[in-house]
Amino acid sequence: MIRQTATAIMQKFNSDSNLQSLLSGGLYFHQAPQAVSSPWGTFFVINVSDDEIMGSSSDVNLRDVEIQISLFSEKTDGGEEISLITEIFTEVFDWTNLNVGEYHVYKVQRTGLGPITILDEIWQSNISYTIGMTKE
Amino acid sequence: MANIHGKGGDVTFAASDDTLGQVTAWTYTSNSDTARTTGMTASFESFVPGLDTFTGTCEAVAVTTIDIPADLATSSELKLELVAADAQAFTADAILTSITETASIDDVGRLTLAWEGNEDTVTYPA
Repeated sequence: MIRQTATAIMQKFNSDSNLQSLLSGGLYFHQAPQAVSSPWGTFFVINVSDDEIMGSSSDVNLRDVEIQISLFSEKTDGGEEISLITEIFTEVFDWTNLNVGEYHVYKVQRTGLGPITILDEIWQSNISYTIGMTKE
Repeated sequence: MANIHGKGGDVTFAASDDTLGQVTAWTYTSNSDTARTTGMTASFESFVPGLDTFTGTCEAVAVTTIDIPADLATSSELKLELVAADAQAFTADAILTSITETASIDDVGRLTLAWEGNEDTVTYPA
């Protein structure tokens, strides 16, 4: 299910040419390659929680998958590029439809948009989402 | 130490077409009225037993459909099961007294139902 969620996020990212061209270094699960070009992004699953339904198998529970996306830019532009990518990323993913295998996704809710920071001359922006899904 | 939980539970109301889907919890409560018999000069309050009733509630989610079991005030057999298709259930003649539907920006639709009835009709889990 984590694999299917990760695949769905990558499919969504790859289907939006505008976001792809802005985040030209690419989006990666957990870890970017050593020689990645700026700007780039990574994402990972923070937590998966289930809301159980009586008398059903565990597969039909309401399931919340929390993910965090981190965006990075090395451009010395006062944070303009990272701000723009963050804005476009949220426009693409907020309340979007994700195709998570056999799961029915009923919400892609942004739950956090951290402050944009700079560390070792790399701009960073963190965004978190809760993806609600079920098999029914 | 508790030795039961609601994972295998279910709720049926005979007036509806089938079992209520997507149930997350139910409650059963026995109630007894009392009448106060205290006089004006008494130092303590006194009570005598009154009539017995019961109430039941059910919480459910509505992922893709909204299950409405019956019209309000419909009287039928209510079964609150600890284990589905088992004798472990509260069964009673009940009247559907309320239907509450909730829609929230960060949650699926939620449905809360309430029943009330004569406690004398209740059969307890075997």
